[in-house]
Amino acid sequence: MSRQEATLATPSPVTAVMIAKNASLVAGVSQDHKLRIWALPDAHLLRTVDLNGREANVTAVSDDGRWLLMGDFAGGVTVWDSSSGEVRLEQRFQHYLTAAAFSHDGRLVGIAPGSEAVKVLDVASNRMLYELERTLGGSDAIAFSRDGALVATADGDAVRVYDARNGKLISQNSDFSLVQLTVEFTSDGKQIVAAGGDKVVVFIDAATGKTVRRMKKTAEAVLYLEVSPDGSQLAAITFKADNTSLPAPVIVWDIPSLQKRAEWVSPAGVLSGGWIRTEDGHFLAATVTPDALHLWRVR
Amino acid sequence: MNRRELLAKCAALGSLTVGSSLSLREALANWEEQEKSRKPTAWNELGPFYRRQAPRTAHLRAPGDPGLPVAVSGQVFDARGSLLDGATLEIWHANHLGHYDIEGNRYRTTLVADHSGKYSFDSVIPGHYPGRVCQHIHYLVTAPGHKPLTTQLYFATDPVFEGDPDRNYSKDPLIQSRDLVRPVMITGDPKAILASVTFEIVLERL
Repeated sequence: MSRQEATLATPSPVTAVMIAKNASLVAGVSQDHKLRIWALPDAHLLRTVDLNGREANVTAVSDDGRWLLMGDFAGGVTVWDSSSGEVRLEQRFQHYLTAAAFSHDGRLVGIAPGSEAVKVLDVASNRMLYELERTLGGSDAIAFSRDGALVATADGDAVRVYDARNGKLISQNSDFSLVQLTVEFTSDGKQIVAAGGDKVVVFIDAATGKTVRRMKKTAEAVLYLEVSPDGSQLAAITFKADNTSLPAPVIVWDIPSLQKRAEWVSPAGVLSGGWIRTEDGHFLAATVTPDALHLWRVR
Repeated sequence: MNRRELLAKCAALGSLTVGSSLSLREALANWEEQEKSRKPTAWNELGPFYRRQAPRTAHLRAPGDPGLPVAVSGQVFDARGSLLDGATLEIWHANHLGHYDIEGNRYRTTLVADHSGKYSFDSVIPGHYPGRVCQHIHYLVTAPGHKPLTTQLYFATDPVFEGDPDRNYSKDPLIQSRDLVRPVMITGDPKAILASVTFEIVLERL
């Protein structure tokens, strides 16, 4: 089930969407090489940033909506302050990013530049703090634990967990067949949830790297996982492996029981989504049509 | 007369001058070393459908498989131009319709370069995967003492390039290097044509 929350008119099709978890804003990069930022819940356009021809490959937003990150295909990475539109951080790498994520307090950002090791930077100082291990095939996803103590990566050959203070490897898990595309911490930071083309969501003990639970196979491959603010639910954005533009379900499970709580098939492939940290916290999913960005509340 | 003898003769005749800090022997050795050196193969991302430990087979195309048959071959070198025997090549791609087998191992293999650094396999030209611009074959190549390489092979005959990959290769934003777009040779009779592609791999040392 779902309810359409907002429709944001766009003069050009949106290719990447960022939704702030505090429900303050949504941002989209469009084919006209513009970054548009809308305030929620009234959905008015706050700001438009000209990207000077850059195309978004990877995007991320801090929980409070302050920082917006975009990596382009030429290896450029920019972090903007959404309140002013000013550039906070700018770097260039040999290869484009394959993943990026902010820590939940917005202080750190992890980025995976192509074949290089994941780098963790301090946003305020624009300084690299440490690199994680160089892995086989690079990283498809990065996630920080809520308390900021741990950082996890979904790499070509394993899911890895590191100490977020120094980048020291704590554990790893290779108990999967196809590469994992998404990682997330449970709210207490004790477990990782991960999934990908295998269509099986696994729970991994963060300290030991051992698989502790495997869910039933989903109908489609899993692109993105996120745990609800209160830690009681897990949402998955799935995709059809044979055609990513076709509709595929967004699924919400209760974490303790792993029972399905909601399933919604969008009218088009879901581009992005995230739990909103409001009193009635819900999962917000974004789909696009050629002239609009649509936000859906999944119930 | 080999290259070294030719260069030595040039030096003797005065058409090649060697600086005082180098002996002729050192200069010729360095020259040859530089001539042999190769540009490392460009990186391309792993993609979402990599599966570890695919079975070893050089025959990805089963009898009766639809699609244009293709024979892919190449050699694996290091950046100094030395052949790398024993390099492991993990290779996977979509079928002729652009669909990946995510449940099994169709169009997936693990190969080991032979004593001459050579590898080869036969398959079909992959279709266009929805969400990607160009037809492609994924590679993950590893060899002891060298940086692992993830890359992708593209076909100069891909309609996306409109016959001019030099001009149009960047229509796929993931193609960061023209070198990854390989010429395709068509042979055979009209009822049984075969495409052939050569794709050499150059790994950087650790």
